[in-house]
Amino acid sequence: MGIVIFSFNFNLFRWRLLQVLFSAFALLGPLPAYAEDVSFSGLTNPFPREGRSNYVVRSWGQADGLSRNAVHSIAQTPDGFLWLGTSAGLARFDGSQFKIFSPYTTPSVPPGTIKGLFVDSRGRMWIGSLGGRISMMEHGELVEIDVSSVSAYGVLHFAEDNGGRIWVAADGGLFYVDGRMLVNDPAKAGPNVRSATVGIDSDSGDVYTCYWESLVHWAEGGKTLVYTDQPQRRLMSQSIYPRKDGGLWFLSASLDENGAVARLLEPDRATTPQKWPFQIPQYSIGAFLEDRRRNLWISVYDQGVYRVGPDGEYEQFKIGNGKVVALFEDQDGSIWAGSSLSGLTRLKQGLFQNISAPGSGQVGTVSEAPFGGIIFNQGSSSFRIQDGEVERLNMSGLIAAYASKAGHLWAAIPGGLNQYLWNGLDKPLTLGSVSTIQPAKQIRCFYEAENGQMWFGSSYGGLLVSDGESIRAFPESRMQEIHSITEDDRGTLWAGGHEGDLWYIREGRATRMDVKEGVGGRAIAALHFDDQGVLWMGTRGKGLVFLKGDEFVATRAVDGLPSDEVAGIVGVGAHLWLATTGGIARVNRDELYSRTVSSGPLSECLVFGPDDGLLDFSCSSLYSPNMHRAQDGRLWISMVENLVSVDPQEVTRRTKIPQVYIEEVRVNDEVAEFSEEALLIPPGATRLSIAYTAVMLEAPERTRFQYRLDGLDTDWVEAWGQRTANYNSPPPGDYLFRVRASDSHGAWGGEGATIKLSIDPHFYQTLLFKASVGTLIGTIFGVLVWLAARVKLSRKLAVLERDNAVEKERTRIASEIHDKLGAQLTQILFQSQSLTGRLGGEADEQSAQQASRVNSSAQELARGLDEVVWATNPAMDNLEGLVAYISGHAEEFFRHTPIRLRFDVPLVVDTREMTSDVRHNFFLAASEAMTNLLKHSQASEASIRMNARGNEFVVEVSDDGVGLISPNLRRSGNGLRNISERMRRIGGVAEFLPRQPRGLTVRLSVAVPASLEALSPKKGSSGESSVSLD
Amino acid sequence: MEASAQSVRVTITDDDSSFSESLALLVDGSPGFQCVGRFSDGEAALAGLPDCKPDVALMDIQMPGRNGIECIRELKPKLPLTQFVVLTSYTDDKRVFESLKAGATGYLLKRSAPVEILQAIAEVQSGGSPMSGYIARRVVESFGSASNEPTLEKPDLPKLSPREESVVLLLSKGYLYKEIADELSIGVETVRTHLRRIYEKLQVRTRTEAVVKYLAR
Repeated sequence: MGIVIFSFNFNLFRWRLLQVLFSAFALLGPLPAYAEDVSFSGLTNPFPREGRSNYVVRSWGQADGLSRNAVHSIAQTPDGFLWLGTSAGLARFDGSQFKIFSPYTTPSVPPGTIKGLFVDSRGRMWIGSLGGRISMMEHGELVEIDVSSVSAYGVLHFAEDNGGRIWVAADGGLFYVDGRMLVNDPAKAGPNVRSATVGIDSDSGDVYTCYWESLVHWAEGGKTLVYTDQPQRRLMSQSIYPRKDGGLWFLSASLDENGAVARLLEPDRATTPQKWPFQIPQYSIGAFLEDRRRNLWISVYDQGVYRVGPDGEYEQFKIGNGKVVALFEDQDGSIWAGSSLSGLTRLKQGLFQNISAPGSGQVGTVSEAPFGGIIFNQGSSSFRIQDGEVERLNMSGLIAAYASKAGHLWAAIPGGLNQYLWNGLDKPLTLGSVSTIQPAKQIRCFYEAENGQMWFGSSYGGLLVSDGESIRAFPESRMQEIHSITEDDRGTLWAGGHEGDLWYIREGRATRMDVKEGVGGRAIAALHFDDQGVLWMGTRGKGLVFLKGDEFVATRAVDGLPSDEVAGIVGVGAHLWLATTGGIARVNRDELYSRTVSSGPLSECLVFGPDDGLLDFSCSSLYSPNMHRAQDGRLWISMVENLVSVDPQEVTRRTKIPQVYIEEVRVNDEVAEFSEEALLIPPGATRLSIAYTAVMLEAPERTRFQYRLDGLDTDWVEAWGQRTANYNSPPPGDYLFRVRASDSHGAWGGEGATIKLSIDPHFYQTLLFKASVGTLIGTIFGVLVWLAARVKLSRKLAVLERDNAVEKERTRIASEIHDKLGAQLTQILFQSQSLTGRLGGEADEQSAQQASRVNSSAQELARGLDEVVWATNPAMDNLEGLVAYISGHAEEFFRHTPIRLRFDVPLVVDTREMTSDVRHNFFLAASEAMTNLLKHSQASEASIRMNARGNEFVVEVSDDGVGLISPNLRRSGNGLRNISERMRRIGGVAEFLPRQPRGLTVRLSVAVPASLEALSPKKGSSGESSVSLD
Repeated sequence: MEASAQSVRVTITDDDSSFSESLALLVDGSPGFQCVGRFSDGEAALAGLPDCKPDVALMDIQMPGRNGIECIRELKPKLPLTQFVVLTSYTDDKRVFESLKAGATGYLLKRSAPVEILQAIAEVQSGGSPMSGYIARRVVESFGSASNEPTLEKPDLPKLSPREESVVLLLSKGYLYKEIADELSIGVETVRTHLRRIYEKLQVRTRTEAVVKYLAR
């Protein structure tokens, strides 16, 4: 994709200028990644701007539920639904699902290809087919228009004039709608002319039509031919388009002598040719559009769609196969393209701008120069971006760079630090290199304090500080590796270290705070004080942590964060923006405040992905700061592959709560007709299902639903993205079903949709019947209570015997299952197998298949039984048993998969006790991690590491696969939640840690006291050890 | 009972009569295999098995009275040419390892498919031995730990050859036979032979260690 920057206004451009530019462009040949030999205003190594536009392309087709892959026309009704004309009827799209209205199921839908689709100022949608039939949809009702009085075959186009009259362009001529009739305009009598397009000049209110060679102006007193092309050339079949500045565009299919295909229709009906900065072959234009941002969109066969910006810059979007025959701008400003072979395509302006610099390697730090521009480094080169232009700075060989407000540029080089002075216009001036830090030491982070001091965190060298003149090491030998620095509102400096050590510096002295437990001993990669004075810590492995009262609250990948490694935090209003190794996320600070250790998933957590224009999901995490909020409010974030920027306000601006609609109610699988938002359901409804939807064209995956049936549900039921609510045998009564949708940030609001449901009772469900039954039940209940009290008493008496009894019982159950059920199962296995073998021949094939199915189910069952026996058997109640079982399971699990399995397990595992519950849940969590790995990771190698150290038993299931990437996030998310839930149940922890360069580690850990005997009163010894259970 | 020269002679010892019956049917019904004896508990096996002189003796671990491990410990010295394979209903690597130390050269999950059972019998008969990652770790541990152990005299305990040690270390890290063969540039068959040797050494070592411990008392 090539982008050329024109520094002139497109509307003012002159042909000669373009020629000059074209030839200059041709000289350069194919777009160079950057051109060293071109020099602008004293900058070093400038190169053409790339990635300026951030349109994100996404397509839908037959596989997504569209009836045909050909989309001929597009329109949007005021309720937000997108409507598509296809060769098999009408399709309605809500961003997630297509609902098809074919002429077979909905008789009022015109048969044949729907070419004309138009929504007028009153919200009515006009539908015209090539077969000459017209329907109109108003308030959800379809009405057929009487076309019998005219011969309107080949309906192609609609337009509405200033008086609200609907004009119809058809092969049969130009018509308008009068009431529900299609009529000829008597005032414009005379022979009708074939029309392909009709357009209204909004300034004059005049009607224009187009058909092949001619553009016709219709006015009182007759038709005027405005423009006729050369006989060998033709106009496009659909060629009149409204201009945003008033007036009309019209397009010809072929190039005129100037190579122009579009013309502006001036008020005096003169035409001005419009040219394009790229080659358009003859007869190759499919559709055209001028959007609200003054972008011109034009589709060219086999070349996809071009955008020409108001400044003349252009870019090309390849859109599948076939030709784009319809272009449409929706309410949100997204462009939709309908293609003859490739379905529907959306071109949405992404939130993020991707900035690619010609450097190689990871992007490191990002900061803002006081004289303007953003400074960042990629690999060993440093760059400045200003007004969309990226320039390379003459500092190289560096690993991270930082611009201070004092106008200094600091460059961390391997084992040292260089300081430059720069006025922002000329080359940075070397001030000096700093050799005070040892070669083994490495600058990891920069921080400029309010008082102008520059602070640096280093590997193995603690903190360094510069007061402008010199740099010295901060005298605190206990500080090792510092990853992050910040400052509170009183000017106290804070530093986060590699081992989860947090420091603050007051009066020249560093004090260490004990947060190790809170951050799990993980490095503190980011520190941020919000305006409420709360200190947020981004950790490498423990998510986002803050101190609430006297406990640390961690928000993790399982709660919705894209990763457990948070390497950057920036506060924007009530939100925190996080740079994690799994991607960029925005969370609501107030929601985090209200969290406790045991809170569930975040309700508001925005994780940005490809749909937002991100090319890369992994934030750079090596050096700090990797995020910067610029003076103008934009946020700049270092990703591994490139630098990105986003306007946080834009995220909020784009937010809207979608309108929810109840689509269908089914009672016992039959569609029930309902009107006035109420439905009466006869007795005997065993299955009630209510389908609903919401229009969310921009971010359909982020729409969440909640519903409740008032009278039955006591709270909202979380439906996530699901668009049906199901109830089984709802008792008779009056209900109100309510459903609501969230905006893309997880905020609930809006009216939602409701429907009243009345379920009639059967006679036995009536009050009288219930009363008499109630008496009977009451009596039985009384007896039961009395019995229960007795049982309770005897239980109390047995409490002392229980411990032993339980163990005996467990042994008995284990051996019972093993001996009886196991033996029987083995029998089944054998018999089904021999049956499979014996059943030969074609006639027996079906039976043989069945036998083989029986066999494999029996094997499944045997495996399940094995697990139960293992979990139940008290002889296995130790760590060694668990390690052996996990390792055995892993071997069996991966044996017939393409994934290589590797163990890292100590030879000797001690035999400390582990209860059945802990063992079993731990095993299930590990087993689920393996299943996830197999299903989602696309890895080639799995490694399982088990270790018991101190009081902790740790299993790490790692892979070299795709990690926690967005497309699978929801799917694997459930698996992750299960794992976390299982670990939580046994007082353990599951962590999801991205691996470098790729892959994921699932780290499961649980506290296992080194010697449980010491604590167990059953075994009789008194507590000689002070190890606690948790 | 007439035994063809090539047939693998198999005995089955299991207290679950229906299982041992099915297994006997399977063995007899498969060409190249022949069931030459069935015993319903440890005592019966101790008494009758030596006369059968089986090539492969399948032995349930968990039986009332004398369990499979004890039987193997007693029978193996009398029947040095017989390969003992223990049967377990469910994963119990610890006990399997005990039986391997006692003299077994193979183990089988009862729920394995009949084809796998026959394969395992054939494999054991032809000189191979299966080994899971867990067992491999225990083997490494057994051979490694004794050298650190301060014993009174240094008895001549068998040690693993460097090649055997590599094989067992790779197994303990989860490598498949095929992967080990590739890694060490040897054939898969050679890997199996190594494992058999390792089991034999393990048994000798176990016996010797027991004697040493007895003497040191």
